[in-house]
Amino acid sequence: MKCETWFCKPYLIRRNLTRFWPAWAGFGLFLLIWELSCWDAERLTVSGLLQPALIFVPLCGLVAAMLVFGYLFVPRHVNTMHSLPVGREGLFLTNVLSGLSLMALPLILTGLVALLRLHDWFSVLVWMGKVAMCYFYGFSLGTMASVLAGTRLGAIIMWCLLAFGHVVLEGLLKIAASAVLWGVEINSLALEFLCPMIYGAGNVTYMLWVDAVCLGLLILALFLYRLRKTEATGDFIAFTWLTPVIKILLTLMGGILLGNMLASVMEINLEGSATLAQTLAWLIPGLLIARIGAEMLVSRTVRVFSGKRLARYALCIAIASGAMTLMSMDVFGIAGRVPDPGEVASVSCSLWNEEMGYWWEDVPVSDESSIGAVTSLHREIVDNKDRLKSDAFVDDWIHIHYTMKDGSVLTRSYLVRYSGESDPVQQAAQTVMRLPQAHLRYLLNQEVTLEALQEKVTSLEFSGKTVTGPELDALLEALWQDLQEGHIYYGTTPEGYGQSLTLSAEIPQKNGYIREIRSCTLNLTQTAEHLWPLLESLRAGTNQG
Amino acid sequence: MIQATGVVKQYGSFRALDGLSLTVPKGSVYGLVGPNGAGKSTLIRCITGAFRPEQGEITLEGENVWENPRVKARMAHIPDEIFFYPQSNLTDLQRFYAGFYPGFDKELWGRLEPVFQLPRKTPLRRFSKGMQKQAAFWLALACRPEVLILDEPVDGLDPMMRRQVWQLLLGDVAQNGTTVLVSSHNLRELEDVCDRVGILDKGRMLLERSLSDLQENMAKIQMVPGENGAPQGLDVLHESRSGRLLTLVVRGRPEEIRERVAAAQPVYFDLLPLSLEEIFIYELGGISDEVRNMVL
Repeated sequence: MKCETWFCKPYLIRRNLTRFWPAWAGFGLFLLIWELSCWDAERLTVSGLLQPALIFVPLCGLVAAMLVFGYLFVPRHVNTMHSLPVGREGLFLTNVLSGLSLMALPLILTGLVALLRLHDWFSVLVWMGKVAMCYFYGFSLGTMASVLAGTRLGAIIMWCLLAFGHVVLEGLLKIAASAVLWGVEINSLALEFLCPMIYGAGNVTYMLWVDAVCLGLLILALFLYRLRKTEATGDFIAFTWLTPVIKILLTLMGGILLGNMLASVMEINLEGSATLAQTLAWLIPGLLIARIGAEMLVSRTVRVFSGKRLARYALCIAIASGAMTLMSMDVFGIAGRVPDPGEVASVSCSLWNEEMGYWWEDVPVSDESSIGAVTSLHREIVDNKDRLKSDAFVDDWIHIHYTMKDGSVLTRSYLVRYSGESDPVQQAAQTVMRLPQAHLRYLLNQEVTLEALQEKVTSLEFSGKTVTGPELDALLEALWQDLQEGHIYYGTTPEGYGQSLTLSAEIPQKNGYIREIRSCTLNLTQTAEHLWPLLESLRAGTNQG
Repeated sequence: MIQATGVVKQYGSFRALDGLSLTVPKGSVYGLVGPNGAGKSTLIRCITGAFRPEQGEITLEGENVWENPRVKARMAHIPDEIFFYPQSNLTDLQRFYAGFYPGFDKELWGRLEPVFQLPRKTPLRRFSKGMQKQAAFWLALACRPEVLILDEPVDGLDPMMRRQVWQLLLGDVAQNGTTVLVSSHNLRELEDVCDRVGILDKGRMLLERSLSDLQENMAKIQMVPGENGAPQGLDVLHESRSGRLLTLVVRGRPEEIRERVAAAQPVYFDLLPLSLEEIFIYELGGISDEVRNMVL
């Protein structure tokens, strides 16, 4: 058979499909089981079922890539393939087509079965499209990993680094930083969107973007494949310039993971209360072991204790120690940062204290008084850091979450112990605890406005009396005015216990049928010039009646 | 036909080929010899286009070999370590190679079957090393290449099959003008088939010459010196004595050597040709001092 196509060798594609029939048969079986488990077309695309299966599909792509590019891991095989009268572009593209065919065939077959069974061509096509996109993602990363690595193990590790490395590294670095930065909490990972298997592979628009990037990765892989040295087969990484990068990544990730395990064994607190010495006690051994392990893995030998390498390990430890020291001194002002109230769009704050017995729901509020009170509390905590951090008997916590006007978020968590009425931290905490806005926001399930109060609040109870109807509107208007002036409190008022009233609201649920009843108890004193007299007159009217 | 100019190939900091130059004329049988680690296999892989040299160029009739499928289609290569897909049989491989080599001759493939007598349907993983080598020859010859590159080609073959294979190769050379580049440690066998030899050492071409030229420029003298002692003015590569018998291996043309030896008026002398193995050994400096001390 004579073949003239420069970019595709049909016989090689047929050869690959024949050799790797267990792979596409396995993919087909998996897809068939998945498809048959859905008794209606809608379930094919229900995210609850889709997500776990879609995590498996990129792994199929990895397997396919390692199969079709498996010759890159065996010296005799790669020498033979590169001696054949075919250019590297042709070989690469032929193998890419082979790899895509490994999933295309079973996907088309199971798609036909689904169509015949479920008679919903749109859902079936959407399902097939999502599977194809996830597979392309896994396959293109697998292709890049196979080109970059010289061994199968290297390829698997490279794939994991490409798929998860950025997210895992970000998380681990934040864990390491939060160990010395008091109060800093990891609330989200900025790079999570780069990992479809975590972020959400069922979103079509998102996956289209991911696949566009993956197409670029495939083109880059082709370029690198042309540069790849045939004799690099058998080396862990096929490109020498990439070796130090991989070693550093493996050292950081492995070191922090191992260090965390060591810290657990040594019972060292990883939430910012540890001293620098304690932090280094778990970090340095972890990094050292990870560094040695990475060296062994990449060099493919256990003999990695030469003088030159020992000097590198010492340098690695020195750099890590220096970085942690700088971090613990808060050189970059991360731990000590308290945002200006003017920068904050909304804030949510949770406090727990067993004695005082109050806590907020974790509900964001955006009014100036709440933001001001929370930032003041935050400032007091930071200013009293040395006392609070060194206190060994803390078990009350304060959690603050800011959403800034520029869209960024800032989250802090502190363990505190209140030392009495004169404690500025306790005073600031009590001010925050008294703020009613978060509780009202929870009550109404939306931003607190007069209209929202009048729309959703169904009754007001005080001194055994329940007010509804037109009288309620007048009370709510007065309540709103006193709220603006800061004379409505949650819990005790500054003047002590005053008049308490309970608001009840009906909150419709998403399905529109069920309505949840919520209530909120507030306190006020005579300083509430608008509401207090109304309540007094109502009470008097009731007594007379 | 094959021209390598200033080829440098490095593995990290180690220079496997250090500015090597080589010329393989069209239609010749070129023997590439050298000690272990000289760079023979590396050179062959550069010629077949598997390796890319860091410096220098390798061309086939003026066309660069690297990433040139048109040029590679004119070459067939039998490496020292053969790779076949384990579950493939000869029929699969015939189709595979026919897909890559436009000149693959199915008729020749059929005609060679009684020569090699290998089972077509048995997976190649069940073949012995020698059988796999035979299969490699069968495929390579059927590709009808203009250039055949062989690395340790007859290693593993029984003597009868060796003879048959060489006959086939030489027949191909004579009939079709195929150029053959063969690398081997079996210098006695190479001596029978090669018409040109290149001796490689430490990544460099030590010498490259036709075999007849090589043999004509070196000689072994066995003599019993007379009163004048050993002859003067000879380029002596090796000297040994056994009683009164003096053996010299010298470089030079036979006529000149005879003249100089005769001038020394020995009691007896004889000029003997050197085998390729002897030329190889003496050109590379003979056995090392360490081995000499051990032996003596």
